[in-house]
Amino acid sequence: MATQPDDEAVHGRLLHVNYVAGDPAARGEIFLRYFEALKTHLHIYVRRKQLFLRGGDIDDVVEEAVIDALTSYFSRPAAYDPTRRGLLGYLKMSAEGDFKNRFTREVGREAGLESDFVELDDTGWNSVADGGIDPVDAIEDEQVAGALLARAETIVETEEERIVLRFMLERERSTAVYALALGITARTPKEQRAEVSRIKDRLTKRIRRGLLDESPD
Amino acid sequence: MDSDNIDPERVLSRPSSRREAERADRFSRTSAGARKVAVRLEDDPTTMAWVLARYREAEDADDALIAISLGIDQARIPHLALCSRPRDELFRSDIETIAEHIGMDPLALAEVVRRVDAVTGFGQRPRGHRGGILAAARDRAAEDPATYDPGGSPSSAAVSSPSSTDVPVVATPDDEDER
Repeated sequence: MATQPDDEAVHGRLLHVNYVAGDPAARGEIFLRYFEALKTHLHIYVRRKQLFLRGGDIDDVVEEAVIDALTSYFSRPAAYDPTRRGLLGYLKMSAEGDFKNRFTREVGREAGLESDFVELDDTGWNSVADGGIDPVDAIEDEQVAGALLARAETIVETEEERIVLRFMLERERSTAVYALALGITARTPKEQRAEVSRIKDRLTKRIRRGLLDESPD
Repeated sequence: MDSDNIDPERVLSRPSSRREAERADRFSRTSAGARKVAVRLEDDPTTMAWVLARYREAEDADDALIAISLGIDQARIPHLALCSRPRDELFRSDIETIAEHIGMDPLALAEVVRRVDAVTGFGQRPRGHRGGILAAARDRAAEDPATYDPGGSPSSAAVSSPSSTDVPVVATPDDEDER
């Protein structure tokens, strides 16, 4: 069963929630789910723009750009705003940017190799000047937010889990806020952290298993 | 730590399916790419890439040997490296989560993490020392019997977790209170 675009928008956000919450497998799951999709996206972009390299392999540039995009997200997940777009759409946009940088550098290097100085071809061929964001990826609507909340309702089993998941979806990171909402401020900070971690761990496990039960494609 | 209570049956007894076969195929197809990302994570002690790099050094083992000792396809090693290192306070749960993601025996994984914990708790060994992790553990026990705790956890005073070593800790995406 293929994943529908709305499903993907929800799945991506849930994977992001898991990653930020500390799920130890989330980074691997995000890579496994999106690495090939991002490469395919850039290959289509390359074909559509009829880009090529004279000497180098453009597939290598594509792969490195995808790795740049994923690595950048992994090191700074807060740069992704799940209220604006799905994770896949964000990563596609990021990979396109990284591809353009690498490709432009590579074209310049090839031009330099051929003429002993670096000069970008400005006659129009091999141009990556446009914004390039697929408008379909940019579409965000209330349906996705609604689907995310509906999915969240199927994940929680207790009121405390509902509270914690709501804050996770809102990207709250302060234990004090969670502790206040859970009514556990009388406990020591260490106990508060442990309790919040336990609930987050239960939720991230349930999210991950739920996503695993659905086809990634 | 309660790694002894990890239930491998719970993790490994999931029925195989076409989806799992597809997942295995995806692990294999994306292994080279995962390796490139994993290399970039090897300096971050909160990652399994860091743990596996230390294990490689200490045991003088390559990925093929590590894969054999973990009982998994070599193509899954880079994917294992992408995971985060198990948190001390959720060690058992995190080990099970990672093992489930990779499709491996959680006990074997816990053993590797614990061995690296033991070695990194000892600080830098002299260059050229190739005694292996177990030999290093024996050295430590001989040097400092008062604080050596063979049954202890890495969070105990005797064996430091990576976050307490001299290696700079890279910020994780988790709780800002813990940064």
